Order: sequence, then C-alpha cells, then structure tokens
Amino acid sequence: MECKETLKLLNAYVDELLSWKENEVVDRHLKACSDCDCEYHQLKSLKQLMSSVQRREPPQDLALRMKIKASKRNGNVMLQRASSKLQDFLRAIAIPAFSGVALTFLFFVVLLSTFFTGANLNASDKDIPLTLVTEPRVRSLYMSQFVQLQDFVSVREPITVETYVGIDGRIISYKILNGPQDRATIRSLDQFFFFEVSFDPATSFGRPISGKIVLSLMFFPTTNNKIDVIG
Amino acid sequence: MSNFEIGFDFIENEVALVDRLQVGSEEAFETLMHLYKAPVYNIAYRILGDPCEAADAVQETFMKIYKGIRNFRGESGLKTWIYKIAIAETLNRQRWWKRWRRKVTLSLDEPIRFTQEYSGPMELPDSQPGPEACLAARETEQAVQKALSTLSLDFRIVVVLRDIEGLSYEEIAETLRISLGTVKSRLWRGRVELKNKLHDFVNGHR
Repeated sequence: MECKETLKLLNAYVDELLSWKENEVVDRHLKACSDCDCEYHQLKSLKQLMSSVQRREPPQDLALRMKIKASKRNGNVMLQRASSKLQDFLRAIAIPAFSGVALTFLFFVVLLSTFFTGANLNASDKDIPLTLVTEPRVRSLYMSQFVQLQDFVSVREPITVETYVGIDGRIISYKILNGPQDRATIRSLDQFFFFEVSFDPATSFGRPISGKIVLSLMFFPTTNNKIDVIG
Repeated sequence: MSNFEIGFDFIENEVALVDRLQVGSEEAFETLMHLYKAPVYNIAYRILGDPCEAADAVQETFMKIYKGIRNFRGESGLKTWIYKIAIAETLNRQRWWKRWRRKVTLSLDEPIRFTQEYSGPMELPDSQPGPEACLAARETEQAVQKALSTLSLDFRIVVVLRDIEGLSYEEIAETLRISLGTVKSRLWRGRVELKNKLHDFVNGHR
C-alpha cells in the first residue's frame, strides 16, 4: 500500500472507524513505514490532547437569565398565538367568503338584470306578452237600442267605475267609485256594461286571468250621441 | 437492559421531551437547558474564544430553540437540530464580533509561549489534581484554544464538533448540511494544521 492511500485512511484509523480489512492493511503499512507511523502517532496524540481539554462550565447565572428571557417571551407568545389563530381562522374562510360575495354579485347583477330587462326577441305589437302581467282592456264598444241615451243626458259629470272582468272577457260586477248613484244611472250602466262593452281579459304570462279595471265614463251630448270611455 | 433498549428509551424520552416543549412547558425547557447548555456553551466558546460572547450565543441559541421548537418535525435528531442552531448563532456572533470588536483577546500572530516544556506524551490530569497539574491543564487548554482560533472557521467547526464534542461524522454532516466527504476532508486538513501548530504537545514517537 502506498503512503498516499494510507494517509487518506489515517483519519478514520485514528477514529477507529475502518473496517477490519482496511485496519489490517493500514496496520501492515504503519509497521513498514516510519513516516506514516509518526504521522499516525501525532494524530493520535492530538486526538487525546483534544479530548483531554477541560470543558468550560457555562456561567452560573446563564440558566437563570435564559429562564427569565423565556418567560418574558412567553407573554408575547400568548399574544402572537392568539393573533396567528385569528389569522388562521380568517385564512380558512377566505375562499368561501370570497366566492360567496362573487356568486352574490353574479346572481344579482348579471342574472337578475337579464330577467328584468328581458331579452330582445324582436317582438311585434301583436305578440301576446309572455313575461308580464297585463290589465284587462276595453276591446270594443258600441251603442245599441238598449241604451236609453236620454237617461244619460241627465248625467253631466264623469262617472268613475271599478269593473271586475272575468277570464272570458265578460264583466262580473262593477262598483261606482265616484259619480251619481241614482237608480236611473245604475240601470243605464248595467245595460251599457252587460250588452255594449267587451273586454280583453287580464293576462299573467300569457294566460287569461280575472282582473279589474277602473274606467272613467263621460257622456258627451254630441250629434252622434256617443259615450266616451277613458280607461 | 440491553443497549438497544437504552437507545430506544432515550429516543422515546426525546420524543416526549419535544412533545412537552411544543406545548410550551417551562419545565421541559429547563430540562432541555440542563441537557444542552454545557455542550452548546463549549461549542460556542471553542469557536469564538470568548466566554462572554459564548454566553450570549448560548442565550440566543436557546431563545431560537424556544421559539422554533413548534416547527421541529423530528426529521433530524433533536441534538443535531440544536447544534445546527448553535452553530448558526455562533457564526452570527463571530461576524458581528469581527465587525464591531476588533480588539481580540488572543493575538493570532504572537507565538505560543509555554512556561513548562512538555517532553513526553500528554498526561491527563489526576482525579485529584494538584495545583501544578491544574496549571498544566489550564495552559494546555489555552494553547489548544489559541491554536484553534488560528484555524479557518470551516476546519475549526468540524474539529470542535468531532474532537471536543465527540459527534459522529454523520452527525456533523447533518448539523452543517455538508456531505460526508466534505466532513472527512475538512477534519483531515483541520487536524493536520492543528497538529503542526501544537507540535510541542503532540508527540510523534512511541
């Protein structure tokens, strides 16, 4: 074995970390080579010297100082722990809370706005409105021999009437809100409503429903003897 | 009790100690200080060469341990974890000290002088050392310390951990986060350098 190789192993040899076989090889070389043997003994002596060095005892008050410092820090640690617990809690709910806010925003701003503004469907006037509630409307109005116009002549002021219209567009009942309520007027109104007027019923999403409408009737004694209806 | 049982018992105790430390037991911290105060102090002292600085380093080390024990996951041993912090803290001190206190207690250029010449191999002090032996031991210690302080920091740390604290090569590698090969080469070069500086104490003959 060469000196160079032996020197490589010498450290581990001094520390007694070599395998049995390597130990043998180094042993054999050291017996033969005085230089390496000298080196070995110096290293061994150094190791003994180092391990014989007295341990320094730490200062007596060191433990006490550390204990005081530790317990001082303990107070701070409580505060830090509380704040970090709060942070952990907030961190845990951060994503659900954010997505909740985001979803609410999406729902109210984006979805509901499309519901209420309604999509533009190129609708024409003749279409039955599907998404709205409509009131009953007067469809046609004509005068026949049943209406005794001379009764109306006495009515010089407008009559406000609340009428209830059924789903077939026929009137169910009516109530005079404002105006003369004498028998003659009521009889004329009965005739007028039950024979002379037809209604479009109220609709809800395109389906006819019963509804009410307030009409203001005014008799104009023109040449045509016409009754005007203002709805 | 076999060796295995002793080892197992020790590991179990260490785990229990860490558990108690992690819940903030001051009593456990006291136990830890009792166990590691002296080795940490010695490492710091041997590297820094100043008792006051070493004491400060120990204090900082244990504060770091107290603060950081919650994050200790047991991937490395408690001992190497503590030594790792101690070395880092000592090196911090070393840098700080170099910058602010250029007045070094030990002059590096001054030749080592001994009042008593050693002719034979180093003799260990008796269990009941007389005043002479005491003096001799102190002088040896001072000489070793002086020689150590002239070594470069990398070599000094490895030599201190191995030859004074008695850590295994693997433990040194884990503590310093270097490879086993680096540990071996640093130890070799550190020892050779130290041997040359302490040639008065180191005898090469049988």
